[in-house]
Amino acid sequence: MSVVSIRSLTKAYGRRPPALRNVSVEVPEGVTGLLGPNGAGKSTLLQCVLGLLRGFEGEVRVLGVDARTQPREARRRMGFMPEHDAWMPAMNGVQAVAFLGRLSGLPRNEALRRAHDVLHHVGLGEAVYRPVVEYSTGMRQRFKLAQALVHDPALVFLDEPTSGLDPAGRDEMLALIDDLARQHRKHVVWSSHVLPEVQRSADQVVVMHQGEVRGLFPIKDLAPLPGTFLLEVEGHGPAFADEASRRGFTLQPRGSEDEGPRRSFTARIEPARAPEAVALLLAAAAAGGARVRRVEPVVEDLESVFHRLLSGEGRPA
Amino acid sequence: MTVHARGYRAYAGALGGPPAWWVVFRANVEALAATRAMRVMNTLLLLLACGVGVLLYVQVGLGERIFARGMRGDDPARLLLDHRLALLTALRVYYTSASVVIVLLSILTGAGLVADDLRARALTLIMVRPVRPLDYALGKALVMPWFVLTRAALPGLAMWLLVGAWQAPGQTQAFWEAASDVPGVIASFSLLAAGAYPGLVLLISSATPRRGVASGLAAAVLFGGLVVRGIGLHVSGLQGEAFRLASLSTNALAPVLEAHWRAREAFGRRDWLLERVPSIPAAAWLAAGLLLLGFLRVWWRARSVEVSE
Repeated sequence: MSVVSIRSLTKAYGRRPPALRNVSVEVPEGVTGLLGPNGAGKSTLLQCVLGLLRGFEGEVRVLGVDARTQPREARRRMGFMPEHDAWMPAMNGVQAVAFLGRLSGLPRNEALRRAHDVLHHVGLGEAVYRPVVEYSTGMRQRFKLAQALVHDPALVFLDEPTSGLDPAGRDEMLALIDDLARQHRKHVVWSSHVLPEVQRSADQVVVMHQGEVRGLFPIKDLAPLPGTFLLEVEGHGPAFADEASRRGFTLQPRGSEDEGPRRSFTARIEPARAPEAVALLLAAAAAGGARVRRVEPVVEDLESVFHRLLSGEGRPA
Repeated sequence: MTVHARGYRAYAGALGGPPAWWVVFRANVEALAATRAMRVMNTLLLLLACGVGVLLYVQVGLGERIFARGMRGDDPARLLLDHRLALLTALRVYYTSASVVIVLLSILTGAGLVADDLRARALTLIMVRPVRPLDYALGKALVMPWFVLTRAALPGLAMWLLVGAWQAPGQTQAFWEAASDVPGVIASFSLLAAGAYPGLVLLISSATPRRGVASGLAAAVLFGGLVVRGIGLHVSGLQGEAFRLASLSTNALAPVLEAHWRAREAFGRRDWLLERVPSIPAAAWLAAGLLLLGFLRVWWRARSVEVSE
């Protein structure tokens, strides 16, 4: 079943070229990454799905509800976390989330109870009675996620949820998104420019460009790159790289040097020479004082597929 | 991942509840009532009402027993007219002073009503919920009128009831009948004030995300209106009438001033006020127009909300 169904959606602002051109897409259940460069039409698409824009052609259904004719009913079933900073003036965290929960139709006492619960869930338990205006950037991101969840929507739209967060904050936000999707069975549509994060957490990806949908594909369909392998070694990484290059391999380091004793490299290996190559690499590792922990085919990363789709070369292999 | 004691729970109940405009209205009333400025203004208005009430009691209740009955004789009709005039004088004093407080209230608290939401970009959080722009605009538009109405109408009606209660035994009903037009005067002042100030403040508040700018503009318009009215006092004809409408506080006072003037006239006393008081229907149209404009402006703001930068 698709959680968002869009058929022949076209939206133009005045006499300018259409922001969306005949967009048709069926967003499946699970976590969906909505990708596209600036001006791709993602925001216009979100506005149409949220029922905030009128005057568009085509049909938009959210969880089976027509977003044009029943926008309020559609919005009752979804939550939205905006990218930009947003808070409720003159309210503390729990007052703000409870107020927004009331607007979504929660009874007064339930809104207050759920406001406490979701704020604790997103890690703002210590700050529920502090004015939102005093929250740090990371806390505001969490607050925005909490307000999107307060009425327990089946579908949540997240617009750049990790924007402005430090690495630890990003990891926690990604963990929260994973938790929402896996533990609480929420469908998540996630607009982002950070492709590795999307690749890590999303089930599928929609790529938009110039007002069109250029592709929708499951992350698991990202194909292995033929002849490219990932090597993970423990021990003296640079010495291993030197020894391997003496044996005719060109190793490309991956990741940073802060990853502890393990180092990762990619290497080109002809499939026909694979058994011989593995033996040579093991020998290089032994000579360089390192141990090979993992050898596996490298999967094409989302970024390269994304750029291929933008250039009109088609879906992943 | 951090595990928290109070976690996420599914919600099995129904979503519905009161209309969204009521939720917006109530939340804003509660938030404004908790501000320091509102508490100070409320205290000032309460002290003012109590002070005027005590003076009224001295004049109508206590004073009546000590002085007036002997001077006036026992003519009950005359006594009722006298007390009606005393009530209208008290209302005039209260409303003239309360207007200043209500203007300050509008400037200090009302100016942030929409401006603060614009600055905080709260509209995005609100309008992505099952809320119509109409709900948001209505909820916001009713906040200041509610404050002004309650602070204008309740003390006035309380004075009217009390003066009736302070009458000699058996005269209470007769007083309320003799002063049956006074609740209408109170309602007129309250409605004019509740329409004009909040309308203007909404209009200004929704024009800028800066509360300070909104407050400054509101102050300039409200106090500038007094200056324009002052000029209008020296200009005759339609132009003068239009100038005299520029002061919203005097417009709201028009029904009280007129009723007081007529009550004095019954005693053969005259003053210059009636000719200078702005036309009540014109003031009513202006107040209604300002409120409608303010409402439409907020509605438009809510309608044009964008979810992304």
